[in-house]
Amino acid sequence: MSEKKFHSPVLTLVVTGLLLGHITAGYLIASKSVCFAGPSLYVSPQSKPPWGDEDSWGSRPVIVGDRLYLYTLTPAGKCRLWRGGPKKEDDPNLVWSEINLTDLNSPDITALGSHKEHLYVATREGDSPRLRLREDPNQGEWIQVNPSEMNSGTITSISSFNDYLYLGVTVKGTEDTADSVRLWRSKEAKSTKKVASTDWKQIGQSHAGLITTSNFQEFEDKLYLGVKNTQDKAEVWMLDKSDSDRTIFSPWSEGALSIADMAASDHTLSAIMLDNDDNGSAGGSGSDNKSTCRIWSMAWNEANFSEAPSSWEKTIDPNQSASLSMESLGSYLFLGFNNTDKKMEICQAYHDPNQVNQENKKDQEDTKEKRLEPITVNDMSKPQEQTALDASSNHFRWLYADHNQGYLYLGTEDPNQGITLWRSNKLPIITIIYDPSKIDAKNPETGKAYPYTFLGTFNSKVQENMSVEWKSTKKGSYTVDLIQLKDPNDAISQDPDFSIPSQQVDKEAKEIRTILPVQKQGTYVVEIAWHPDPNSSVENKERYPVLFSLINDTAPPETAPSVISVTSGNEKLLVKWSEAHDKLSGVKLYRVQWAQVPPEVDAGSDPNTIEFPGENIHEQSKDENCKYTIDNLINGQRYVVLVSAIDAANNATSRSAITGKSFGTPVKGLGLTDLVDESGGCFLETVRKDQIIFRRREKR
Amino acid sequence: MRSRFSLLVLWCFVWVFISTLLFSPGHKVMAESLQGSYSASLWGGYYLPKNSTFQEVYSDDGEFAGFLEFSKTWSSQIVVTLGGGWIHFSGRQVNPNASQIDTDNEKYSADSAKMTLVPGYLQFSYLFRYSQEQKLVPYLGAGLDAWGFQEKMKDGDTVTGAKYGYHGLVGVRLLLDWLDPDAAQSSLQEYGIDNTYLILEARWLRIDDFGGIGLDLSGPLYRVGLLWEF
Repeated sequence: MSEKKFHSPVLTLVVTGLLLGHITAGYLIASKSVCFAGPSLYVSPQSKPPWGDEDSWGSRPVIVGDRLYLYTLTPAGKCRLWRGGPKKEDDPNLVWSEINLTDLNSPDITALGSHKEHLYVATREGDSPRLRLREDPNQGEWIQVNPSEMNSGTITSISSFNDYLYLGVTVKGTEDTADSVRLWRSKEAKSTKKVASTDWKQIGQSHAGLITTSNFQEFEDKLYLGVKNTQDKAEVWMLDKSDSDRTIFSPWSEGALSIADMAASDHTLSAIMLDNDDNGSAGGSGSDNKSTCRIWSMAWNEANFSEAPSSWEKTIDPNQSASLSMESLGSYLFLGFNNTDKKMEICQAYHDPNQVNQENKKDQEDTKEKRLEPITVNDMSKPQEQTALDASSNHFRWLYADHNQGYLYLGTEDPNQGITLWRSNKLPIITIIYDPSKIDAKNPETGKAYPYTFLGTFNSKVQENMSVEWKSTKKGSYTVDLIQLKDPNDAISQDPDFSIPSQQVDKEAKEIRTILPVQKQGTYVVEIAWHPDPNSSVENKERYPVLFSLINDTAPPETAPSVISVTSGNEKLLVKWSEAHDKLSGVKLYRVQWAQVPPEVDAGSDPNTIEFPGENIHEQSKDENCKYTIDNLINGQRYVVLVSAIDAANNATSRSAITGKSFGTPVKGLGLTDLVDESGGCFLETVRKDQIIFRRREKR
Repeated sequence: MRSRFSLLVLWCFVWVFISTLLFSPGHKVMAESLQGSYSASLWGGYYLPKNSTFQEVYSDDGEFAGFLEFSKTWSSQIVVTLGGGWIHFSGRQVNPNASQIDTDNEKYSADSAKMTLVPGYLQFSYLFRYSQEQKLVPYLGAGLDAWGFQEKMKDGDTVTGAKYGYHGLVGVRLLLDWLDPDAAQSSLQEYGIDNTYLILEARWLRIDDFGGIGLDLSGPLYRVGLLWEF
């Protein structure tokens, strides 16, 4: 690793790889490289930064094409816009240049956004909000493209979603009016590359509140935004692809002040909630009180947010509560904040493969949850054991992820050394490619959710090749290892079924299909992880493993259903049966079959000797009650009804045995008026024709 | 169980009757302002048909019954009432081969049956009322009934008709005006309501075409109602 002296107080930006660490000492390069290695993060100092020593951060960067854009604030409050990009392809160093804003008359930049390869800059010019666009960010005219009706407020959020550009605008209230939020969407962004000022429509009404997240978060084809309502309670607003108004989520208690940030990973949306402290002044300036941040999450198949385990709760520096930040990379979730010791703290939430086989030692459910652990920030230029990024002098500001390239960016401010942008080395972030909406998320019989990313239930007797599709942000060698196999009785198998030692990824983001040679019955937990050169010093924790599970079920349900009763009706039979059970994949369906039978077929007859017409079959979900009404039968004919059960892997039991309860003969039933021989008639006619005759009631 | 409940209700009414008569004023004070008054009342109650065949098809748990009545009172004590109501039962048709089958599940058909009853009646009551301010007013009465019925059988026929009969009743009115005299005064001025009563009543119905064949809808009916006297 290279080592260079840190220039203080400068803002530096490092762009080195984990093992490269070599420096491009140059004019506008100002960066630091960090290595997020499991619970570690390494940095190495670089050359003089382009921005001033006294500058402070404006906001998180955005990526447009292969360029990174960000803005800083001078002590005088002037905004400066910067663009960074690789000097040449595959060069890990970024070259930074300032983008001229002089023709905008020193605007206040309020947000940056990327849409269709264009940079959009939200500003406040005088008292008016503006959205600006320039064909070439380095030259030419800044075109005003904000909605022409927008004449007040501040654009705080810009997001490209569903081929449209979305804006979140907060309008500060007055003594008589509350703060309000307006949401805008471009009209026809699909047909035009750029958005014009006439191309906008407001989504829904103007609603009271204040946007608290730095931007929208896209999740499962919807857009989410954190808002604080007028009662100082946090809300998450959801926008779908239609033009309909927001949907509000607010399942938390009254003390939940604001949503600081949101991130999506593993088909789950997570939100950092800044909670009220004991004295009711979370984040209040000058307070020494602790503030609490809690994580709430909502999986793709859940209707609302639920609170993460209490171990995920963090206490933060109330004076730095604005610096809460969360980002995702693959299935890894990163959380950054300044703790009560005024030290920067970065945490990582992930599934720990080492915990998998400890499930039986403690609470089984807890170990299947992701763990949230602090990670250390180390300086790559120095021996790892000796130095670390000074978490006490560097104040955390934000996290930002380049999901395509596998980089994690970290923004810090050091009172003595200025502001710093750190970039991780390229992380081997693995994404399992699958559509969870096409897979049962829960066991159909028990309702228990499957652990990790669940690929589905298979039957190796029917499917020859079971496979997993995945991709990674980093080239190299990867291993696909079975780390746990549980048999149908939930006992851990000591005899692993397979191990795939090496799988080459020769191109980043290339989709890889790995055949899984699954043979035994059971529940599999499999790990895919980067596997560098065996001689390298990369530790296991730096491999960023990803876990997924699947079930191989080759046997029918252990307990087959049996017919309990067949009740006659008019041209119908109501059949009821007992529940079946399948320990491994769970009973998913029941199949009911019926046939007309002669009197010779009776209890004890062999079901296989009976011919069931193809149309005399009905399959129904396990979720329905164990009963079914067979219609369109012939009254007076004798039928036999049999039932079988099918598990989630399509293994079916044999038909239920024929007993005396398996038979039924449809017949028209009798009502009360039939039973008492009441002929009835029109009420008025009855009144007219009937004579009131006193007579003794006949005894029945 | 049901007969015990009926007995308990009967005893309650008898006790209220006797105690009211015992503690009523020794001389009758006719409430002149109520002579020839009208009243309207809303009722909810529980109807328990006693016929075993009825119970076989529609359970023996009884069913909710709602009523609306209009009355005219003479001399504060003689009341003529015209009333109507609505009762609905759900049950299961009986398997015609039930006698050959001993399990309860197979005794019935897979098809449902629904019975709607629309009672109508004209009744005469005598109120043991001696002053307008009397808080408890026992009464008894009798009347003639004409009950419309409609039985709908799923995937089968619908049978509609009427049954006739008579009933006897005993009840007690509880004057509510003394609970909130201001509201009572306001009701009088705004709507012309002289008195508001909470009423408890038990009646015994004989609805079988006076001993005829066919449907028998006889049984007790216990009701509670609110009555407004104008």
